[in-house]
Amino acid sequence: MKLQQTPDLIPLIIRGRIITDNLADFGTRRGEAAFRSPDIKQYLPDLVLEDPIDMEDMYQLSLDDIIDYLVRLGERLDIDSNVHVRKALDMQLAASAKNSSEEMIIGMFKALPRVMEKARIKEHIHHNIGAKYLDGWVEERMLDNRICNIRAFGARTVHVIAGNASVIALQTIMDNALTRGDAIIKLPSNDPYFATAVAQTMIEMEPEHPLTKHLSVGYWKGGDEAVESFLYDASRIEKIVAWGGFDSMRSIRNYLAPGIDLVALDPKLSGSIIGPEAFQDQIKLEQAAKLAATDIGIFNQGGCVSARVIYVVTGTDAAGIAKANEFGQMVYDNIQSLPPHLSSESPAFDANLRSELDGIRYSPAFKVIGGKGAEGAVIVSQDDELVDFSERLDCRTANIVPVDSLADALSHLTVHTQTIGIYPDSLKAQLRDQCALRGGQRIVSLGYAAAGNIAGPHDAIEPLRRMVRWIRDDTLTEMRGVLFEG
Amino acid sequence: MNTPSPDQIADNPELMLTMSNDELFAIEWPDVKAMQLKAIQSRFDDMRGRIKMLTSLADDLGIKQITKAEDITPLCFPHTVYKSYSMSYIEKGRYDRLNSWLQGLTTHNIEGIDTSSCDSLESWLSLLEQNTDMRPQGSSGTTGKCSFFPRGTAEEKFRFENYLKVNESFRDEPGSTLRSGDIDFFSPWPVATGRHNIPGMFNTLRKWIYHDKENPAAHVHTLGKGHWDLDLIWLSARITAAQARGETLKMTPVMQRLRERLQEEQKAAPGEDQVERFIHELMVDFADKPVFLFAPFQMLIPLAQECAKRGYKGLHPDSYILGGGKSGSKGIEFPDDWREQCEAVFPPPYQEIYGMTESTSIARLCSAGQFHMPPTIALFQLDPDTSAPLERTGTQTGRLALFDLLPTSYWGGMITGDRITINWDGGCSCGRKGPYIDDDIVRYSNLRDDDKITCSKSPDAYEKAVELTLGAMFD
Repeated sequence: MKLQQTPDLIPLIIRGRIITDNLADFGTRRGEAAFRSPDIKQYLPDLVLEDPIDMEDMYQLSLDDIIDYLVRLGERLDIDSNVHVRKALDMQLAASAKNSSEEMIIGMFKALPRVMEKARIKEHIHHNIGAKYLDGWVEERMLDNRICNIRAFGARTVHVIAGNASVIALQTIMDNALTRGDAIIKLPSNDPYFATAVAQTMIEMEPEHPLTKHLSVGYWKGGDEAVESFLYDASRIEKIVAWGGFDSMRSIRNYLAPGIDLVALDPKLSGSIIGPEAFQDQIKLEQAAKLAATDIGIFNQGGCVSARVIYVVTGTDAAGIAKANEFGQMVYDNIQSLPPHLSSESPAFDANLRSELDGIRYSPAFKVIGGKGAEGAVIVSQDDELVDFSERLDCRTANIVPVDSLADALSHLTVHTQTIGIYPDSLKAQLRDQCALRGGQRIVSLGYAAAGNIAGPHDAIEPLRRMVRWIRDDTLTEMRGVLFEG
Repeated sequence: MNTPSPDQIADNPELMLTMSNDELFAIEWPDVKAMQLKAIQSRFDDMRGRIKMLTSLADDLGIKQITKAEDITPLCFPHTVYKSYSMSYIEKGRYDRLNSWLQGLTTHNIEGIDTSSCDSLESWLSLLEQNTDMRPQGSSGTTGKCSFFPRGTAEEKFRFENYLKVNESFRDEPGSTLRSGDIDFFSPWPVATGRHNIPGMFNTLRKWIYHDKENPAAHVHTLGKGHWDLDLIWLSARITAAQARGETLKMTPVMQRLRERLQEEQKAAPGEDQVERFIHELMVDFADKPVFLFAPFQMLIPLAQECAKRGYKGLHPDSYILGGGKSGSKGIEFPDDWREQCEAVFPPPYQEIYGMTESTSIARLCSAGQFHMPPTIALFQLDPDTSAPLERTGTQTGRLALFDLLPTSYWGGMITGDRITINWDGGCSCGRKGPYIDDDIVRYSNLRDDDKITCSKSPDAYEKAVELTLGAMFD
């Protein structure tokens, strides 16, 4: 019997107000109430910024003022001193479906505030958009002598964020501030509190600050027509930034109309390509196994960057399959010895994946190494076909697929591919254009797929550039060489 | 013939096929349990060296004997076993490999069969049927991967017998005399023949019930007259899945040939108004005769609507209507007044059953609204997270695992994807002895938290696309 606990209360945050009444229960599909939160339908008119001119207050702030605010906010996100962040952490530790060990979750929470260190924020701006476009009009004289001014403006935006890593909520709040946007964050059911905790911290720090006042955070069930038909209206918002999920994406697309820009951050999958060089020398083989295990196992394979299918150019004859099997065992062993603060057994191993693993365990088509407990597994295909559940690979379970050539490996990449870890490095220059043309977005040295660095672009999705509205102001005097002159 | 005793049944579970529903459900639960344990033990002893995948699993777990019934649950196969081959076998036409994979699941000897003439799934399965007593049942997965369930002629017969029986009466509950051959069978199913579960059942009706008639096929009335060709289903699911994934599907020569054949067949198919013909047969030609109407509610509702449009209503009072299915369970939401719409055309009661492709017996929803599985199936429940067997007492909710006592050529142990509640202490007011199952069965896969968003992968994306394209027709 599980102890029945009072569901957590998640306040609704609207522009600096903390709302805790008109509570509704939000259950999981299994029936038990997961948390309670105010019924957002009662607050819809307050939630939206009816008049966009009200964003003007943020233009009194310099970019340095904004960075300064964010740095101070980051310093307050300490798990030991911030009760809200602590509660977010405790909720994640108590979640029944968590994929990471307590040690890992605590480690991730401790690392979060570092995203808001001054140097990192500046690097993030530099690599993703350029400080000058955020700080004012950027003036350039063009061939025809006109002065073209460009500036990035914030937008009234609903952010439908992902919940597999709390850094996504933090980055959304940071990017909204940096772009002077007006954000309504829709919480995901798998991380329903962290964004709220940050918003509460902002209210305590600077209750009247414009950046505090241009953030709202709440929960509604994705697809709730009463909420979404009101919100997703071109008179109320300009953009929707939506992470993943076919269901949420499909319901959002119903509301798209001229005037609303959808920034779709599609869910992605990552993998690895290991060249023939790795299989010609024992030292390289061991190195490649260790690096591949890192890309699979870090954060328990919970991210879009995590490797799931590993193509190995061993050949598909008997000798090649034997090499792939040997490599599979080495990868498995290496996954098991990853440091515990970065990787662990899965506290809630996916039951559907378990059924798939149990189904193929004694099939001649696959060799399954491990996976009897929750420690993860390596599946080595005994020909060049991946498992039919390759998109469900999770909880440190990877599929090693032997192929005859690099071209065969590349043929599996699609528009849904994000990161491709490649070994050896020398192969990257040879493969990267083909990876890109086939849909891959990020090519990285094997073993570093999940190496944390938010300064980007992280991959081809460019959220910061797409979150803003790019505005142009032309000054035309004494034209020369104008195209349409007689 | 005297009713067999539990001891006799334990030695020969097939004896249960000779018993009526009244007899089967009169056996005391302790006797059922003892009988089932003994039968499970002897099936295990018999098959553990003869079914390769079972041998590997038992060796791996170090299980040499079964002392209590629950010991069998770690040896139950997940349904995924039946699709555990490599997809490339089909795409590259390696039917020899597919054959040796399937050998791992059956006691029939198929390994020596020369598959060099096979160029499609249908040709491979036909070859098996010509040369052995195997009658594999195919079903289609959303990724385009088909499952092959290694049924044999004996189990095909058991399954059919149990289908007839589950629709016969228990005490004074309604029942059908379909077995007599005097009643025509109607179903608004989209096809008439094929290797899937339901069309397979239509085949057996023609073969075993209407075989004496001049034209056996004429007594099984289906909406569609076509054939569910496994190759067609495999190829279309494959193409749809690839499109949803953004892949360009490389057509292998095997696939290319198939596609051409299918295109030819489609051209040749005559067009007719199926709905008009079916409704006319059911509501006009058979207006004065009792019928057996099999229509899951998702099909009964549109059928009732079409009949109402044409002003037809009512069936012969001795007709038997087998419905079933819940709103939303197959992605189709029923209108709020669906029952009224149906009842206005087809007079109730509607009977319901619960079973799975892989089992030879089926549970019937009783007059008290509970499902009862006959003692031919030993029921178990597993903790959904740990897979540990739950106590078989009181009321428990968990994943259904079962052991089918009848099969002799494949392993009867299986784990389903269903969450069910079982009242182990029995006492259902309908009068059947033994445990009963609540009418709130859900698939665990439908219990997923669909508001959980991650930046990685979306297996649902292509699954949903395939479902949308193919509809809920595939069982």
